[in-house]
Amino acid sequence: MSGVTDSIPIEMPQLSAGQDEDASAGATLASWLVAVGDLVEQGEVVAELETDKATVELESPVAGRVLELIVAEGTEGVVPGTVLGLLASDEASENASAGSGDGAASASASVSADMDSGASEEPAPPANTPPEYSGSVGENADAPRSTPLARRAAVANEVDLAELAGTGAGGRVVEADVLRAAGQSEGASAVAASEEQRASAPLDSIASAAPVVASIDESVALEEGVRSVRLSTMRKTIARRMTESKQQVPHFYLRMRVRMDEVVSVRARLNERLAAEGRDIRISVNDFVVRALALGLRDVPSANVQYAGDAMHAFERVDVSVAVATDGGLVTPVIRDADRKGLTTLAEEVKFLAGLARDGKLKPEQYQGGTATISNLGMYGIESVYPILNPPQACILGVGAAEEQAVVVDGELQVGRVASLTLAADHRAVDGAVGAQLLASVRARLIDPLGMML
Amino acid sequence: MSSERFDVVVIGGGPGGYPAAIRARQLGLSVALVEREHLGGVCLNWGCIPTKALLRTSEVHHLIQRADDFGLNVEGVSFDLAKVVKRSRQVSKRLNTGVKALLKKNQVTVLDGFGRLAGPGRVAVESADGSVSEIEAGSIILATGARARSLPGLEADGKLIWAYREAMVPKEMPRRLLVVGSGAIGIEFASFYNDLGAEVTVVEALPRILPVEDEEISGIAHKQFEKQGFTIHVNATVSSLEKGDDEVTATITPESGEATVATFDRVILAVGIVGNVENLGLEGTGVEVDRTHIVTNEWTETGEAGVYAIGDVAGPPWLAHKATHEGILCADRIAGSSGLHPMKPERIPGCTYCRPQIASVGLTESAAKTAGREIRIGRFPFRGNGKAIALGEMEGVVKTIFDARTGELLGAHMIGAEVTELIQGFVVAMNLETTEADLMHSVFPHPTLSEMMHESTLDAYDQAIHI
Repeated sequence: MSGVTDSIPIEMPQLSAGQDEDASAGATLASWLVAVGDLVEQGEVVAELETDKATVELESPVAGRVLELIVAEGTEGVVPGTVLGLLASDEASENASAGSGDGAASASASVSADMDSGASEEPAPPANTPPEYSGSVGENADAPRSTPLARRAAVANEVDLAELAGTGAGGRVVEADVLRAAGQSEGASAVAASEEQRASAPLDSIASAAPVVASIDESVALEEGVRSVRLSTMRKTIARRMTESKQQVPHFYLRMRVRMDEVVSVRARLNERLAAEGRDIRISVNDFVVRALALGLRDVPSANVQYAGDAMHAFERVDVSVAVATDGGLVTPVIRDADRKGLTTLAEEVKFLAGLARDGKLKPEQYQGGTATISNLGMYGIESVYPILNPPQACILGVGAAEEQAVVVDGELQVGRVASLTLAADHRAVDGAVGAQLLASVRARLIDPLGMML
Repeated sequence: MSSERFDVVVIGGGPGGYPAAIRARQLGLSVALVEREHLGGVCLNWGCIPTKALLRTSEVHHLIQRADDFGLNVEGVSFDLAKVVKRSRQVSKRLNTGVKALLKKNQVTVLDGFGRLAGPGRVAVESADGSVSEIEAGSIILATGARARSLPGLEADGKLIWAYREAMVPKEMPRRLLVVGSGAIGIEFASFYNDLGAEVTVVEALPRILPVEDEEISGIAHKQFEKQGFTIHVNATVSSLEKGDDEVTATITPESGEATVATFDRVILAVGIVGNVENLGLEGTGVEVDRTHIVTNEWTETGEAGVYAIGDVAGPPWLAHKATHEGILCADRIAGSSGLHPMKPERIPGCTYCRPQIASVGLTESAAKTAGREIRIGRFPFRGNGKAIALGEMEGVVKTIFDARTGELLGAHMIGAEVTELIQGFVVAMNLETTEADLMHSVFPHPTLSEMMHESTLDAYDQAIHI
């Protein structure tokens, strides 16, 4: 194999006499004026440096090609002698492009040569050299660990490794991860195809019985005091959906404080009456909130929507999902047509569905298709709840505890019951003003609960 | 009546079962292992290990025959077959004791007897005296292995017609030996007996010997064996075996042409293996059996909740290291370990310890082409390697197959001295998804046989130095 290609460092120069005495006061790398792959002349300005006194231009020590920019723009306190970047001298960069480079530096050089080969004057590699994709796409500091084959596939398919989660040993990105991201099927190779067949053919029956595995103790001691517990299907679903929501749905939050005195007093009277009539149902504060949200969505139909890619789905029905904590995790049974149901009906339905949820007996139609969700942690004394959206819904209302607080009414201090309501909304479908209208409507209903009993 | 309960019960103590048991203990599970005969299974007692001991004898014997090449004067060489066999048995015994100690050290409860499913979460253990006890199991791992296949009309009798087990403990040296089947087992025995002086005939039904290997490697092996004195019939079957007093008359029928009749002192049947799926209580469970193997998914799960199958009983390739890997994967799966990966079958290496040795991993040339891969092939011969010449081992080749588009190492196929010890380098390379560039950039020590792996890679890209 041919010789090693040397890379030439671009170093932070000594900028002021006093700098060494106080290393922490080193210079700032203000900006790079070149990019990886650029050809530079000797003496060409490649970067701007800032000291506490002045801006200084940094010149390239040699003519060549920029291999790597090591120190990021804006990095402060860079001390003299720090290697800021690497150059391949003209000669070296030509060697690298011949495909016999050695080590990371020259491999990157050849990539850069590859990338702009249309414009450059690099000689075409001889026919027998390996396909030289290798390189820097996979080797930036942010990228996860990846295999050499995955890095080549990333370049060939224009996939950014930094955005991939690796499925290989220790989270390493393997070729299959890249091909999946690129939308290519692994079936490209017969081996992979037959492997898939092997995996899937006898499996239909097994897949449905997945929890099987945990039929023994579901947890395993990892070390003293730490146990590893296998995720249930439910937990996995929650994890996946919440991650998707938090990462992909641009939420915004609106918070409002609402006087709940009337709700509390009306609720007490209603429950007295129900008890007097011998009925086995009690209305909760949450039932009032469900009804208030349902009526609010009817008042503000532009909030009763879902974002659907090229379209917006606007709902005529108002189906409110209610978050219920169960041993297995969070589930959200749906109260259908909640805007057309009275408080007792709502109370009975919520109680019934929550019971099914806790017993794990909800049917899909009982937890799918809500148009908005309520997440109430008031019973735990939580002041404000900032919920994650329940996709594909556009709105979720977080409800805090209705507690006695000091409130100012007409310039006078009083004691009142106040709850904090927080609306999280998908900004792709719901703008701030619409969210605010919805929240205001909900508040109006809760301030005057008799109004929502009509 | 309450019975003892274990988180995991492993049925079968071979190279799949005992590592699974140890791994499960490492993960904090309580484990029982049920073994009907010998800990270590066929591999350690009647397979991999004792045959390697025998083949070491035939290798040394062969080297002594060539003593003159090395400037040594050796005269009157002979061997004592009983001692050869005794050494092989001692090697097995030593390892068998080792497995026992490992299981004890790891606090695995070993139950002697025949294990079978006895309803959900229950295993019945039948002792040699016929008494049956039951234990409760959180999960059950079936690791019952496999045994030699016999064909209609070609049944081993243990005297004149041997399966591997009798072939391993010969009382006298057969002068004329027929080996039916040319997979790894058949060829290793053929090589052993040939090197100790038997006239060996090999019959293979397929068009080439060592049919799972790369065609080119099969071809080289064929020539080498014929040079050593083998008689080889491919595309032929043994249609009948007639036993005489102390000999067997075989009718060898080629696919086309006249049948020939020949007489042998002994016959070794090596025509594949069948899974041990009988009397395991699988009836009425969700465990599915396809021909003689238990159907599993990539996580070693069967169709029955909580029942797993690993190793030979779960299907090919019938290799101890595949069983071990599955056993460990299975234990981790049961324990809910994170970061698990299904085994990739195309990355399981195979080794045959005949002379010359054969080792391979990945796709053969024709499989790669069939898969639609555009490929580059590298070859490097033993006679171009300094260490090989110094060893006096100049026959053989290292062949590498790369994807021409991506540089992925698709397969490696080797024949020659010590290649079984070399193949792991390519196995690691494949698992790390290295490309030709990484192999080229690696420094291989000189002088070693491993340099041929480097040169073969270079050759695939027309850059080999020493040819």
